[in-house]
Amino acid sequence: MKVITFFNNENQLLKKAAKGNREAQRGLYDKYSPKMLSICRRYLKDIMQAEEAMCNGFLKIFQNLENFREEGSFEGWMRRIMVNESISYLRKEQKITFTDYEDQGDEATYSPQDSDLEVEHIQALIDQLPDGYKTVFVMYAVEGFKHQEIAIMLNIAESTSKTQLFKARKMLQQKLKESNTYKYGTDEI
Amino acid sequence: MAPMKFEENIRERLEQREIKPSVKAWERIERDLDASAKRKNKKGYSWLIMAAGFTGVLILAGLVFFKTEMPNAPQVVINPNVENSVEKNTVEEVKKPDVKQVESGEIQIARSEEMAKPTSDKQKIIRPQGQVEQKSSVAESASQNIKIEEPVQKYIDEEVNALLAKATEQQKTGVAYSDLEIEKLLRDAQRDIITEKLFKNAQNSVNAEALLYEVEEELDPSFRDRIFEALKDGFLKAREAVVSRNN
Repeated sequence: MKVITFFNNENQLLKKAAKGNREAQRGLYDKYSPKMLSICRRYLKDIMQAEEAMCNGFLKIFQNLENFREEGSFEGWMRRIMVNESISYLRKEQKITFTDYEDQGDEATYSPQDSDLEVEHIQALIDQLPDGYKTVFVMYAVEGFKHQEIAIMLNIAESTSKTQLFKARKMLQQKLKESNTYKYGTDEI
Repeated sequence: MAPMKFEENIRERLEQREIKPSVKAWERIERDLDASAKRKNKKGYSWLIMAAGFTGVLILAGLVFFKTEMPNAPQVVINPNVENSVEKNTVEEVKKPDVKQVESGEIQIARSEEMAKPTSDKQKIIRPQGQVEQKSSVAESASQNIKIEEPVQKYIDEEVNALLAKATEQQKTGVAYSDLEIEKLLRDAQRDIITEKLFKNAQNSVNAEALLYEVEEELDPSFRDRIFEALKDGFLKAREAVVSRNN
């Protein structure tokens, strides 16, 4: 915190960090690392893996800070790097696939109504999705990417992205239904 | 609208969530940053070494190239056995057609190509101790046949010493003589020596070969003059022809 107060201006902090000032880099890390780790955790089930992806992301950020143009927000630029790092980690370690999984149970429509879910519960639901479904769902529903962007980033067809999202929503509803049955003893919400 | 609301809820909750990373995470980042900085420094240093090496190679290549060029240039060979000190001629002086100074020692001026040839027109050997090289083969044979006696030898030595004295004086004063002048001096000296030999010989006999050489010496310039005259005439005729054609 002392470091951040010393470099109260973020632009100044960025300039110093770009020159390799370790204190400035530490300041940026302290400020953004909790958010960035949260982003990585959305894609990666294991917290250690998420932390590793975040470390790689920060390394890239500090090494390429000179290339950052102040056209967009610094946080947005960092987020994108973190998402890319998480995806490449998934690809490298778990060999992400975008296959259609068979529906489990009956054909249910996507109509979840529970809006008071705890964040850990939400994360647990997302973690249960296959990596392909999860990635597309998080990118679209949480990060706000468009199908076109997702297709480019994941090197898949736009239609595949749409299908994956549809399947992810459907599976998520089923998982939510299952969890509610377990929680309240009935499948009626 | 329900799915949208549900997703909005998920987004809000996830956006608000913050997970504090472990202490090891920053240590790892710091370590990796240090390593990459070292790699960058090493890269810079290696570039410097490469540049220095390249410059060294260029210098060596230049030296080798100029060394191989050198044999084509004229060489000055100085015989170290000569008693008197020899002033070294520069390469530029050698290039000039007329040697301005008569060296007191033995100086051989030759091109590397010509070194292989046993005799060369450009080689000039001036021997101070009574061994004056004669151009004419007749004179050579005459000098070989004539037995040099002591008074004659003394006279030759005197002449040579006088020449050497002149040459030394020239060196000191800086007055230069052309090839022709030097040759004229040598010829005069030779003629004097031969005349002396003819008349101071014990038997008072006349050497036919020596006489013939003397006559040749007198005839030689006139023949040369005739050649020059012929060439001059031819040149003038050709020039007139060219001028009249142009007109």
